[in-house]
Amino acid sequence: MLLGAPAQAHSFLAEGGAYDLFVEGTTVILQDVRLLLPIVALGLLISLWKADGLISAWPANIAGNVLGVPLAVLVSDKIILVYLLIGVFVGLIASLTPKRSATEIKVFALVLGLISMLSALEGHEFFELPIAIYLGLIFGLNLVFAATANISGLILSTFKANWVNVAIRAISSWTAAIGILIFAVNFK
Amino acid sequence: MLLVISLILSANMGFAHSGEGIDSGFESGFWHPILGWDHVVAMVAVGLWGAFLGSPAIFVLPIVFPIVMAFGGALGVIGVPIPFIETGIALSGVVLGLLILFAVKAPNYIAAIVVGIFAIFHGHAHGGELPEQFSAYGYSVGFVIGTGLLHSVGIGFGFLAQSPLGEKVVRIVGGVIAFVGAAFLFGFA
Repeated sequence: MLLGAPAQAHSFLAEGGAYDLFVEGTTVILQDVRLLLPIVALGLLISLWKADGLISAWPANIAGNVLGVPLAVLVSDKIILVYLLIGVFVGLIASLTPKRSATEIKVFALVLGLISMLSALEGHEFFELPIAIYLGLIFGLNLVFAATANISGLILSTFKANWVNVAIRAISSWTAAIGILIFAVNFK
Repeated sequence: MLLVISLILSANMGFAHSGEGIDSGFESGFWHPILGWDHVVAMVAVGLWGAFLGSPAIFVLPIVFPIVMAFGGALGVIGVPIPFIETGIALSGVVLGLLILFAVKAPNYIAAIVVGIFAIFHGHAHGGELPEQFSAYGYSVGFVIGTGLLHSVGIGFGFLAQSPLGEKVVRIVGGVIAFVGAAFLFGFA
């Protein structure tokens, strides 16, 4: 997958077969730490909320991704700053007070799903790009989200010791900390 | 533990912050807090003091510190000056070391404030020294992780304080940290 056509910083080559385009869309997500960080924070929050919390939150996240496709035309490339800030907020919540209500978790998932897609598309118009690119982006976002939530949830449900929970919360604080720094670099 | 200490002490301090042999932003950021003794002693002290204070400080401090440190780092990145950065960094070793040496059991909010103030100094130093030739993103990831791992080392040592002999050892280590901090503060290191 990673040997597919490289993504040219969200400009999307829009050439090649469906598979190449799909891989390009996925690679855009996997190669940009700014896009990865908030989703990782969300995945950690979900696992700290409930070890099997992904099942509850995932539909909202996907709904946000899909909603982001037609709405991307409304935003500029500055949306990445908003996305990073929300990611910092989610990382803080995950590290300090992860036991939220189900409604709050679903709202976080929906909002981050939406803004992640807006940030990945950076103003591209609705259906300006081949469908395979959109599918690749959605796949990439959800791959990272699900992998983080599942791996973290598995660790937390397997190792019940308090220090394991603390370690996951510390890693969540790292995502917030890194997010603050990357925000500053992009803001500069 | 003795093996770890000996390995640390035998490391070539001449490469501290020099970037020699560093090939990427992540490596540069990761080694930045680890190759600077002024950072190492303070980060380990945060973990030690947290373990010494017990729950919930043992996890609150290592969670709060990276976030506040990153805020200081952000100020450094965007060029907001903070005076007496190196003094603040050196002082952090002295103060945190003394807090451990004298087994000061501060309330959690006081501990968080003390740690937070010093975190800004350390973060600003890291952010302000962001190398131009490397990826800023990789550097950011590296130095947050490097700092977090140093806290973990401190927490690990801090668990020794659960026994009477271990507590004495931890307090002596606090004294050593304060001494190293003082060496930086008065220009001997």
